[in-house]
Amino acid sequence: MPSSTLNSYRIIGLGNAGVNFLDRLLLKDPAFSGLIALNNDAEALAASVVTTKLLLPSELDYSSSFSSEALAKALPQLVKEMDQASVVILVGGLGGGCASTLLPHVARMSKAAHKTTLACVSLPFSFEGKRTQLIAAQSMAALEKECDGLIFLDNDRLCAKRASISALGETFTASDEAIEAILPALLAILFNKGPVRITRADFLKALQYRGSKHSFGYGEAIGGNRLHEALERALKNPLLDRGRCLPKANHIFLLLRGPKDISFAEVQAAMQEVERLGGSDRDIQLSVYPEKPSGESLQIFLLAIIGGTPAALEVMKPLPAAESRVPKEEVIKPQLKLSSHETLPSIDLLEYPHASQDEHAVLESVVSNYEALASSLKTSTTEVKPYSQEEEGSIAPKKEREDKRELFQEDLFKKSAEISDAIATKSLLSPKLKQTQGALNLKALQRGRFDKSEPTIFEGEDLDTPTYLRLGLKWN
Amino acid sequence: MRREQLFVGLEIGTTKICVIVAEGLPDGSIHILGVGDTPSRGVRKGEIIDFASVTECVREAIIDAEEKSNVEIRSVWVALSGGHLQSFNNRGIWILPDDHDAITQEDLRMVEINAKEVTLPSANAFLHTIIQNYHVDGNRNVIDPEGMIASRLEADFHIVHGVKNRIQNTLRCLESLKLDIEDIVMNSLASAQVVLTQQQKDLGALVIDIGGGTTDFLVYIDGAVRHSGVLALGGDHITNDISIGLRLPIARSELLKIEEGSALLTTSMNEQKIHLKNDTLFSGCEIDRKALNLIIHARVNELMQLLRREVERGCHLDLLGAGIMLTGGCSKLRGIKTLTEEVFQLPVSVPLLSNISGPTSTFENPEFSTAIGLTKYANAVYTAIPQENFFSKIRDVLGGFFGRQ
Repeated sequence: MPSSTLNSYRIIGLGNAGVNFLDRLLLKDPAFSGLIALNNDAEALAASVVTTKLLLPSELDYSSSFSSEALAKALPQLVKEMDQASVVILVGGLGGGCASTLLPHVARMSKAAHKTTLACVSLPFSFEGKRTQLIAAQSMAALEKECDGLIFLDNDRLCAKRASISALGETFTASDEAIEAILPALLAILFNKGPVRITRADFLKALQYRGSKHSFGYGEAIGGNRLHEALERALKNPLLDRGRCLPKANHIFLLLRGPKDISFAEVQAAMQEVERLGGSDRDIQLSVYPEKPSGESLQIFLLAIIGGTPAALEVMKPLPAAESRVPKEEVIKPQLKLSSHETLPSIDLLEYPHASQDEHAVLESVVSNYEALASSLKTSTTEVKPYSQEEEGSIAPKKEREDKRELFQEDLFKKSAEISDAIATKSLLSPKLKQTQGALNLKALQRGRFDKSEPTIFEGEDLDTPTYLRLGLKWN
Repeated sequence: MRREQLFVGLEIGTTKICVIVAEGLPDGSIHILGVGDTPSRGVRKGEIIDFASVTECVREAIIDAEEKSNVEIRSVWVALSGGHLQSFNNRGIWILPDDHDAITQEDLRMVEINAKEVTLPSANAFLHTIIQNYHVDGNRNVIDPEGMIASRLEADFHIVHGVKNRIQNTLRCLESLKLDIEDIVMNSLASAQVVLTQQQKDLGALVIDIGGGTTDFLVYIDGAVRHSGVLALGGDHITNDISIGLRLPIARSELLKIEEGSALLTTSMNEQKIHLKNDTLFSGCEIDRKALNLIIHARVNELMQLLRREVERGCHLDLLGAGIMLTGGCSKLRGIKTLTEEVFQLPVSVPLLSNISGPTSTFENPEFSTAIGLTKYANAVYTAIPQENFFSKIRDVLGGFFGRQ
């Protein structure tokens, strides 16, 4: 690889969503370079502000016989652009036609050219329909195999807490803003020339967890209390849920980017805060990239990889993990084994003697929903049968059989997800974990009148937090 | 009386802004003519965070002082604090040119410049270069070498520096009020002028000035400043802890700290309750005295432990023959003297200000020690330096902050 390409990148936006992400990125920072818009919609492409625009030839056959070689042949400029980079990042929204079909092929092209290939995609909202979800899941599975690393934005999780109060436009904007924050952060991690770096190998290895969930947040602040404010904003991102998801993360990446005057105390305080939220046994990797002039804002990006299986281990496993997004029959089969005499673990309200009246009301509703789910599952497992048994003795037309099979798989996939969620809800409500979360919040927010002022850090300790709290003194 | 003998000290504190108008007397003492003070807004931990509010507060305090002293204030001596202030000791060396037969003022200036040849953080500027002692041809502890015949002059200095922009913010605030700045003095250095006698400075003493937002300290050994520093912790932290711990409004917590709080833990307080009367926007409640004192004790004990560690970095505690002098508003807190004695294992006193005359309510109040100390510092500078050199010294100090580094 020529040395000139070692530190260069190309960000390729595919489809309408992908091009839209690039446009937003460019409007925010016009100096952003290396962006390529790739779309089959000539009108959308013409409206884009990206300089390098590539229109997908309409004569290409996008059916099952479509290959990355055909794409490379049709788009020589894309190949040329890729050659000039060491890292290729693909951006798009899954579930539609263009990005879902082409992303795995472009990723394969990039890999074939020996480029570090990352994909950064958004998953569709659940209201976009089951078919869209399925297409997205299939495309994700293919992308996981082709890329060195895959980061995805789960739009449903992002907007779950504010879906009822947000306008539709706001919901989409939140999604766009999230992707907008990821891309510069990714580049900063990959091309960091600062004093504290994360190696590419470590970063990519963490992104290769199959079936994992990605939670991230971004915060930016300026002024005396910039660290606390930026970190608070990052943690406020719905995906990070005020840091409550961090104890479950396999890997946590913390990026501090901004002015050259980032102090040692700030870096130390950020690490300590993340370690406090995630637990000292978490794998927390830090990257500090002081590249801007003093006085500029401090940016914090926090990425948590939760759950999943390392790609290397997955090869040895006979079955994929139950959380895989591809609704394969083998994946769902274990869930089917819930027979009539088996029961789901029960939630006993007596386990929560200290819950307040309001908390009891919430618990009661959770328990009733959980029990209804358990009974419906029992019913469904006895009623729903695999198509081969149902159709035994009669031969249905092939198309009809395929449709039924698809519906059956979707139904089971949904049920499986619901059970996982219900069990997760119970485990979240278990008294032990609840106590831990309460303690974390208490400590993080108790700075009182000094909440907005520059922290007094002494030997890594924030002295603005009351001494009795830090010492754990009690008077009752 | 010549106008130049009137000095105005201004302290922009976290809880209050205080202006003292005093008259310098030839014997080195000062006579207070008037005091102006106003509650402070826009200052946090000794530093300006709201420029407009601070400017307005300073204006109010100046007008108050002018009315009480019947003096029109045109120039001020300003006290400075904040966690950004740092200090170190350094020695300057100057080899006298062959044609010099005796040490001159110019040689003393050159040895000081040499001592300041250190790399400060790019954002910082020198605030004080305080002479400790001179060495003439290896002869230690020379007090005044001017006129002595020598070939090599060395001098130890205590150098204080801070973030330039933060210092300039204070100056800019006063500029906008059309006030001339005579000099900028570190809080603890100003306080030490009135809480310590020359004998105590010679014996070795530690001055701790506990204000609302910061705690400033200064160590004198053998009559010279050996160590100084600022911790961005003060009485506001105690109030904040009470407010969070007992779930009380900040104003109520402040009142509770002053009226009932103590830094000592005693067994008699265990069952005692303090009844807080209802007030506007406060419905009243009953709290445990034990809880209140525990919160205060934890904070003050931690502050003193940190101070002890900081002081020990610069000097040995055994050298503090005169013990510790507590001053500043927070030194009035019950039990703080005893707790400080326990932590440092040294005698502690809350002294009356010395060589001051005027309204007793002012100089008996440790809250005013910095502002009064400023006027005494000014008087000392004025009497020690000839009139001609006095103004050149002021020009040098200010030149540093306005870009003529």
